[in-house]
Amino acid sequence: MFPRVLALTLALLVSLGAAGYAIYADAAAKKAESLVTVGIAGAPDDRLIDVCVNAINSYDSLNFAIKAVKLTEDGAKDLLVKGMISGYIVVPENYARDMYYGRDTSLKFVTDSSSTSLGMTLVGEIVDNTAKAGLETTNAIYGAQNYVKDRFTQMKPSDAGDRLFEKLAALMLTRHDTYEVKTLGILGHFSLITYMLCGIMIEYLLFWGVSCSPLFHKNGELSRMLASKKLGAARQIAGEAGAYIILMALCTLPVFGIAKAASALFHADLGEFAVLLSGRFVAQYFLCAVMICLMQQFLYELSNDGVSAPVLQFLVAIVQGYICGCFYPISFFPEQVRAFTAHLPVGAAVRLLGETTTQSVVETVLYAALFFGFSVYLRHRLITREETQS
Amino acid sequence: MKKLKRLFLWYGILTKRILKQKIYIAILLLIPLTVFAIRLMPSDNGGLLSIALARLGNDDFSVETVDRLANGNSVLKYVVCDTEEEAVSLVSSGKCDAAWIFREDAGVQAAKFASGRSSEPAVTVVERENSAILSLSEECLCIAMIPYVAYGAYSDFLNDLSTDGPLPEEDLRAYFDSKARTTALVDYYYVDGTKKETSGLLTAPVRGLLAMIILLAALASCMTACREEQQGIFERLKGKKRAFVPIFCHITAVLPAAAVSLAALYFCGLWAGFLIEIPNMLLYVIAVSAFCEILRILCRSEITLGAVTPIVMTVMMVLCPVILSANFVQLPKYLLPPFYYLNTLMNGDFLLKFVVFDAVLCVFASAAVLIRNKVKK
Amino acid sequence: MNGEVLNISKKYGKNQILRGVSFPINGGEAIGIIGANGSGKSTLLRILAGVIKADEGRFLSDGVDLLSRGAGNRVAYVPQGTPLIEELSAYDNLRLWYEKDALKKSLESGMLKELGVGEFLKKPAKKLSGGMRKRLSVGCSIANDPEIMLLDEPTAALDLVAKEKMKAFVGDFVKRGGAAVLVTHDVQELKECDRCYLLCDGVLSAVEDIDGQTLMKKPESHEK
Repeated sequence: MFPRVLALTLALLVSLGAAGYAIYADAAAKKAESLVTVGIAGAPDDRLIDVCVNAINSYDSLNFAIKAVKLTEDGAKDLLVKGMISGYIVVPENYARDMYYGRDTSLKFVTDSSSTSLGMTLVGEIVDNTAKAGLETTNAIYGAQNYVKDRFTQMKPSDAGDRLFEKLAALMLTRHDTYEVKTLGILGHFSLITYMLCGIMIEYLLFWGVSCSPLFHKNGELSRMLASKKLGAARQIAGEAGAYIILMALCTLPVFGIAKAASALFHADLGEFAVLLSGRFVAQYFLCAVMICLMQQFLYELSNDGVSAPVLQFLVAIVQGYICGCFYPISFFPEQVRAFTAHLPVGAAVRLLGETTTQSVVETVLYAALFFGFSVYLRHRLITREETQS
Repeated sequence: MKKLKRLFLWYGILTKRILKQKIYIAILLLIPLTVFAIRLMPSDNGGLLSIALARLGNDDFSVETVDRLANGNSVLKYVVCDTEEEAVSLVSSGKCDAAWIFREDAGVQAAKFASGRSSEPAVTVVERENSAILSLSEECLCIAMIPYVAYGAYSDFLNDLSTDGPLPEEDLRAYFDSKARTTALVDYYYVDGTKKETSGLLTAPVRGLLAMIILLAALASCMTACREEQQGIFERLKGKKRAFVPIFCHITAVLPAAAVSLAALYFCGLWAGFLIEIPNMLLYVIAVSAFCEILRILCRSEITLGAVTPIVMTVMMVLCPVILSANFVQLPKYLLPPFYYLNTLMNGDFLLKFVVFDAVLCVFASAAVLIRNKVKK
Repeated sequence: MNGEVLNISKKYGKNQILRGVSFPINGGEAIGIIGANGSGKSTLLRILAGVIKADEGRFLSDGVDLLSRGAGNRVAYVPQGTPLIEELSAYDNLRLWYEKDALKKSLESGMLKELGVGEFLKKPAKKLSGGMRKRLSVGCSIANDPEIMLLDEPTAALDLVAKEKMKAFVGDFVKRGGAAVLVTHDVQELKECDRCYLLCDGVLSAVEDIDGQTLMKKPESHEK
C-alpha cells in the first residue's frame, strides 16, 4: 500500500504546488511580470488611448503590477477569452471631445468575472473608483470650459479645456509623488505570499487525509476481532491513528529536508520563505499534522462506508479551508466570521503556523485530544453495536 | 411509451436511493448554505486588505480624503486611527497590511501638487512588505485624492487666467458643481456584450463553488456505482443496458444537486436569467456525468476514486478557475466541465463550445463504457 | 424446454478456468454442480447468464444459442451473495425489476408469494436478515418468469428453516417445468438434484455416487 500512498502524495504535491504557484503568481509580481494585464481598445489613432496606456504603464516600471496594452476590440476579446488578459476597456470614438462637450458617453469595461483572482478584484475596484474620480476630473474640465465661456471671453472654451486636460494629465502621471512608501520589514510575521503558502500547506494535510484514508480498508469484523483479543477501542484508535500519523510524517516531513538541502546545495536565497524551513516551523507543522490526522480519523469513524468517508472529509476540508483563510487572506471575511472561524480546527492550525501563541498551541492540542476521544467513543459504539447484534 | 415509463420509474427509484444517503443530503444542504452564507454575509467590515488611516492635521484635504476612504464602499477595509503610532503599530503587529498617514502639512502639499508646483509627499504609506497587491492598493489612495486635486487644479487654472485677482470661491464651486455629470463614466460588460452589475467580491466565487459541489455529488455517485458494480447489483440487467446504468445513476445524483443550486441562486438574487441558467446547467449536468463516468472507468475501484477525488477537485479549482487563477496552462482547462460552465455564464458565445464539448465527452464516455464492457466480459 | 451447454471454455490470462464444459439442461430438472473454491463454478454460471463472455462454446435452449443472441427473459441468474440496493425497501428493490401489474400478481399468487417476500416488503434491505435477503434477491432475479434458473450457492449462510424454504421453492419451480442449475457445497442439496456434476481443474464430470469421499477424489477421466 505504501507505493500507492506515495504516488498519491506526489500527485497531491504536484497539484497543490500548482495551486501554490497560482497564488504566488497572483499575489505578487516579480520583475518583468505583471499581475494583471488590461487591454485598452478603441480607434487606433486616438491619442487618448496612448495617454491611458502610458499613464498606467508609467507606474513603477520596476515592479509593475498592472500593465496596459493597446489592442483592437476584437483582439482584446480574443485575448480575454483565452485568459491572456484580465479585462479590457473600450474607449468610444471621439470620447474626449464628447466628454468636453458634456455629451453622454461612457467607457466600456469588459471583464471575465469568472476569475476571482485577487489582482483582478483589485483592478475591478480601481476601475470602479477611477470612474467615480474621473467624474470629478471631467467636471473640472467642463466647469472650466463653461467658466471661461461666461467670464473669460478672450479665450476659447475648448482651448481652456485642452490646457486643463494637459495639466490634469500631467498630474495623473506624477500622482505617485503625492505619497512616500516606508517598508518596515516582515518583523517576524508572514508576508502575504508566505501566509497563502501556509494555507496551501494546511490544505495539503487535509487533502492527504482524504486521498489516503480510503486506502486503509476499514473492517468492522476486524474491530470485533481485536476487541475480543482485549484490544479495546482506545488502543485500536491509537494504533490506527499512530500508523496514519507516521505515514503522514514519512510522506510530508522529508519535503522540508529536501527543500533545505536543495537550498543549501544551490546557495539559494530563500528570503521570506526561509522561515518555512526552520526547525520551529517544522515542529509547528507537525503538530498541525497530528491534529488534522486525528480530525480525519474522527470523520472516518463518523461515516459508515467507503463512499461517505472521503466525501465527508473533503467537504470538511474545503469548507473549513475556505472560511479559515486557506484560499483568501483571513481579512477578506467580516469580523464576525473571523472571530468564529479562528477557533475552528483549521483556523487554529492556521493561527498556530502564523502566530504560535500559547493559545493557538493549546487549542490545537485540545482539538487533537477531542478528536481522539470522539474517535474512541465512536469505535466503542461500533464494537458494542456489533456485539449486541451478534 | 412503456419504455419511457420504465425509464422514469428507474429514475424515481434511483433518486430515492441517492436521497437516502446521509452524505448526499449533506451535499444538498451545503449548496443553499454556501450561497446564502456568502450572499448574506455582511461585507462592510471585511476586505481584501486592511489599511489603517491616520491624519496628523485638520486641513480640508486630509479630512475629505480620509472621510471618502473610510465611508466608501470598497474591497479594502479601512481602520481609522487617532494617532500615527497607533496606525504603525497595527501594521507592525500584522493586524493591518498598510497604514496611510496624512502628514500635518498634507493640505499644503496637496495644494502645491494640484497647482503643478514642486511639492513634498502629502501621505506616508507604511507597509511591512512591498508586494504587488499593496502597490495596486496605493492606486486607491491616489484615486481618493483626485477629487481634491482636480478641484485644486481647476481653481488654480482659472485663478491664473484671472487678471483681477483671486476668483470668488462660491463662483468657482458653483461652476464646478453646476454642470456636474451624473451618469456613470464606466459601464461594465461581459465578453458577449451583455451588460452586468458589478458583482461583489464576496459573491464572485459562488458559482465556482456550486460547480464544485455538483461535481462532488457526481463523484459520490461514481463511488457508489463502483461499489454496486462489485456487488453485482445490476448484473440482472441484460445486454448493453447494464453498461450504461452507472451514467444514468450519475445523472440521478447530479440533477437534484443542480436543481437545488438553481433554486439557491434564484432566491439569493444571483440569478442570471432562465435562458442563461437552465441550458447552461443542463449542459453541465451532462458534462459532469460523462466526465465522472470516464474517471470511474479509469480508476476502476471506489478506493482509487476516493483517493484521487481531492486531486481532481484541486486541479479543477486551480484551472477552471474557482478560487484561484492559473493562467500558466491553457490546454488542460478545455478538458474540464467547470471551465465551460463558468465561462458560458459570462460569455454566451461560449455556449457552442460547451455543446461540442458535451457531445465529445458523451462519445468518449460511451466508447469507454462499451470497451470496458467488452473487456470485462 | 430442452437445452444444452456445449463446449464452454474460458481463460483468464494464463489460467484456463473452464475447458470444454458440456452438459444437458432440460425442463423439469434440477442440476447440481459442486467443486472446490476457485474451480470456476461461479464463472460458469455467469457465462450462462450472459454476465461474462465465454472464449468459446454455446448455450442452446430450444435450438437458440443464448450466448450469441442474449439470454433475454429465459434465464434468471441469482448471484452469490445478495446484491440489493441497501438504502431501498424490499418493495422498491422489486419495483426495479418487475412491471407494476406483474409485481402485484406475483405477490398475490405467484412466485413472490411462494418466497414469502410479502412479509417484509416495507423494510429497508439493510435491515433484513440473511434469509430474507436471499429470498428477496431470488425474487428480484425471477422477475421475467424465466425457464431456466441459475443459482449460485442459494442456501449459503441460511438457517435450517430458510434453507428448507429455498429448497422447496426451487423444487416447485422445477416441478412446474423449469430447469434449475445450482452451484452448491451442500451434499444434501446435491442428493436432491436430478443430476450432479463435479467441476475440477476446469473439467466438468458427472457424479454418480454422491458422498463426501467420492467428491474429494479427482475424476479418473481427468487424471488420464
